[in-house]
Amino acid sequence: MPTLRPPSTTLETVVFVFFAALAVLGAFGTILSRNPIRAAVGLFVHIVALAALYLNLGAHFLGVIQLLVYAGAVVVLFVFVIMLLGPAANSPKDGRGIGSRGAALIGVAGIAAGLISTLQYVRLPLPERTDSFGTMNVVGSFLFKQGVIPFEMIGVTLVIAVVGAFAIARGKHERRALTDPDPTAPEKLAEGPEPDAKSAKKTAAKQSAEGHS
Amino acid sequence: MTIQISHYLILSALLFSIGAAGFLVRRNSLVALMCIELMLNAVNLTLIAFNRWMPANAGGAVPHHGHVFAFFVIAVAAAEAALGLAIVLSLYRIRKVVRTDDANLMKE
Repeated sequence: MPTLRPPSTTLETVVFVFFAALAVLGAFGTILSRNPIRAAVGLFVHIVALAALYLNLGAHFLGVIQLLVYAGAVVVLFVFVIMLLGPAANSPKDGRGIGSRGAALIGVAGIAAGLISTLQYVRLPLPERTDSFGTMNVVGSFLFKQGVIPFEMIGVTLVIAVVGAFAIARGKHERRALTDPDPTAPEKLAEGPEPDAKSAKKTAAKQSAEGHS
Repeated sequence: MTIQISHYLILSALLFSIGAAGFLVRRNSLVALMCIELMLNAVNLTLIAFNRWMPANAGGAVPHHGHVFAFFVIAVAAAEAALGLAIVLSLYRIRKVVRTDDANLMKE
């Protein structure tokens, strides 16, 4: 039975170090770029590096899904929205909240230091894996045998998300009144004669009712 | 030097911390959403690394629980990105900004 051991542990180490560095660089690029497009490119690099790490771990199916869903759909969606917003996607730099941001950074750094100092002692024996580990065949079989109900729930979740995204992003014309106090806005002008028309209809209806009686 | 599970766990903790720091520090809502994706990706890396080091059960069946869980996390992350970007667009339509500081419509 062929096993999943990589050709050499040296190769595995080299792949791990290279793509781990790439993932960290991409993550830093995401959070440090002032331009959201550059942040999206950093996210793309991070995602591709993580897909390579998944392949290094024998998760072929998840590596492909990572590339398809994240690099193919989510990053493209981000870029679409950034392009749609245009220059408004750049938020101006200001000095507000420096203290709270510094406190957040210190807290996160403390958590990271605690996690890393603890996790470095984790040691597990590496079990042998057959060649079929992590392929679409076995993962799909697991998904449709033991995980079929969560799978259907994910389908429901995605449908709800799509409908909700439509409902939120479509917008309503009435909401423009919040930012546009100008009474000469086109909608207001269009709404203007409406009450008159209604009252005219009502009076006409009343007259016709009186005429019938 | 062979790669141990601890290396993957440390990398994942580092990536999660970078994402959390970005989420707390950045005020651009688009970048905040990207930082959520960074954190979810770090969690996925942990799940898949643990799955690689998970021993087969008594019947000799190879477990894939971590892979399936990561698959679900990816699906939820895709739904979250779609909804989050819809909210950003809606906020932009009302306020003409994407800063999280200005998303205070419920406070007024």
